[in-house]
Parts: sequence; structure tokens; C-alpha cells
Amino acid sequence: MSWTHRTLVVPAAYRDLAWTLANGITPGGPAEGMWTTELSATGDEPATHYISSGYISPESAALLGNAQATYDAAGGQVPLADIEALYANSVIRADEDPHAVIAELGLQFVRREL
Amino acid sequence: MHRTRLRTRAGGLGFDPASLFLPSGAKGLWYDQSDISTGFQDSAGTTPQTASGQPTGRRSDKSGKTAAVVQATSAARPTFFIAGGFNYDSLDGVDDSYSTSAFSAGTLTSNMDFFMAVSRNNTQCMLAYNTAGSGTQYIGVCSEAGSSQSSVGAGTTLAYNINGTSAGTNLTEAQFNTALPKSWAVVQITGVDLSDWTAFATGLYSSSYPLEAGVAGIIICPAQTDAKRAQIRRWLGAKVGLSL
Repeated sequence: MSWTHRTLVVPAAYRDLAWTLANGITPGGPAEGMWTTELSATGDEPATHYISSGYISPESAALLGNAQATYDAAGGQVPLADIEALYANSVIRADEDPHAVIAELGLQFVRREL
Repeated sequence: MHRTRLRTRAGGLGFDPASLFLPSGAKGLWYDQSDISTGFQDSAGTTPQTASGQPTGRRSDKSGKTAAVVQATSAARPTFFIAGGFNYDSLDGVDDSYSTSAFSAGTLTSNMDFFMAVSRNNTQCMLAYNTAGSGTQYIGVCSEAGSSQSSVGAGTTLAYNINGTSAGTNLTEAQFNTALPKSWAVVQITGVDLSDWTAFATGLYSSSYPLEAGVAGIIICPAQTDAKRAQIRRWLGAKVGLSL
């Protein structure tokens, strides 16, 4: 099986939608394992964004950024306008160092004391 | 004579970590990235790893407990590399992790030795934990100025050793951060109590302590003699080019 690397940063308000879509269209396992890492501009809570970075199937990668294709793949379970808004507010990068993407966006890991 | 010298230097040619888990049923875990047959691209273990650059969805446990570490979400899987003559799983320090399925408390025991061949890149990180994001059971936290214990919920008197050199007892996060180089190293922690642990994982306890690292081997076994510990360190060290 071939894999392709993507870094996906979504605003916190869109995480549930991203999970719904990912669960609906990808064969890559439970989407709740994606976007678990919290980001914010200051490193303080609350998280404003979540990041997922790693290998996904080429079929899933081909959908990213294409709202109509995603809508079709999800069987219309999510309104097209919502998918368009998700993509308009998210960052999708291919084969890039996720740490560089985080820095470029002016974000940091949310840090909490143990 | 030549064979004896080789065995002594490498510590691995005449030593098999499988012996640590005998008789069959001895408590522990063993993940051996140098054995490519233990790696699978998927979490179900149906697609074996065959080359560098493939995801690690499953890493089998060679201790005999069949407690593989797995990652069901493809985007959160570590990546297997063969580079510089070493095999290792690379964790990206963002969201990569893998963990065992839940097991019963008591599966591991109260006097154990923890070994890990690791090359970590980030300062604030954690080597291993029980359950992600909750509870206070973890091993080997590094941070720049943290005064809390580096390992919590894993024993009361923990002795740390890095590459065969004692680093002290009950290190703080900052002390462990100072002791652990950002290059290949064999970490040994003894006096580890994992009797209450109900899983084992590495990679992403929380966003605060992601592990950005190469991991070339993990051995958790019943407490050993100092001589046997030295053999384990040499065996793991040989996997990453260290002569310990």
C-alpha cells in the first residue's frame, strides 16, 4: 500500500466537522485519533487550532481541499457550504515539516503542567 | 578468543533478550525495531513492513505477551526508517504514538527495569506512559526547568542511567533533560513499579509532552543483576551504533 504525507491544521471550531468527514470518507482508522494535538498562538489554553500530521491514503489525500469531491465522497452527509468553510479556514500541506508549518502559522503547542 | 572478544564488545552476539522473559510468562514487554518482521504498516498486522519510510501501525511484542503497540489512525502512525545502518520508528513530535491494548493491572510488576534506545529531538517530551492525557503514570519526562519528578506513578526510588553512566536517583524533569542527549542513547531506569499500569504507550501523552524521536528498542523486564543490565545496554547500544 502506498501512503502520502499531509499536515492538516484546523480551527478548533471545525474539529468536529473534520472528524465527521474523515470518518465518513477515509479508510485510515478512527478519525478521533486525528487533530488531538492542541495549538494556540501563546501556548496557553484554550486551543484555537488542532493539528494532524502523518501518512494517509492517496485516495484521501486527493479529496483534501476539494469541497465538491469531499461532499460527494461523504455521500452528502455534510452540507457543501460547511465543507467549503472548513477548507477555507484550514491549512493543508503536502510533505512539509509539521513543526515548520506550526511556526509559519504563528502557533505553538498548548502547554500544561502535568 | 576472537569470538569471545566480539561477544563482549557487542554484548549482543551472545546475548538474547528473549532470555529475560524466561520462563515463559515472565512479566515484561519488548519492542525490537531491528527485527523488521515485528513491524506492520497497518494496526491489524496484515501488511508487513518491507522498506524504510513506511508507517508503523503495529509493532509486535517479542516478550511473549503478545502486547503489540498499535496505532489505529493512519495519520498518527510513527514512520519506520532504516538509516545509517539502524532500524527505528520515528515519532514526529506532533501526534504520532502507539500503545498496547488495555491489560489488567498486575500484568507488569512492581520491580522492573526499563530500557529504551532513543534519540530525542525536542526538549519537552515524555518517553512512556500508561494512558494518554489522563492519570499520572509516566516515565521519563524532560523539560527545561521542571522541578517535578521525571517519572511519576512508576515507583518511588528510580535510578537513572544513560549510556552506562549513572545519572542519579529520582531525577526531576530538568535533571533528566540535562542527562538525556539529543542523540542516540540507551536509557536505563531501574526500580520501576508498573504493577498498577493497565497499558503501555509512547509518543503523545498530551500536546504538552509530544515525543519527537527515533526509537530503536524498548525492553521492560523483571529487575536484573547489574551484569545483566550491562548486557542489555550493550545489546541495545549496538542497535544504534553505540559501544557501551
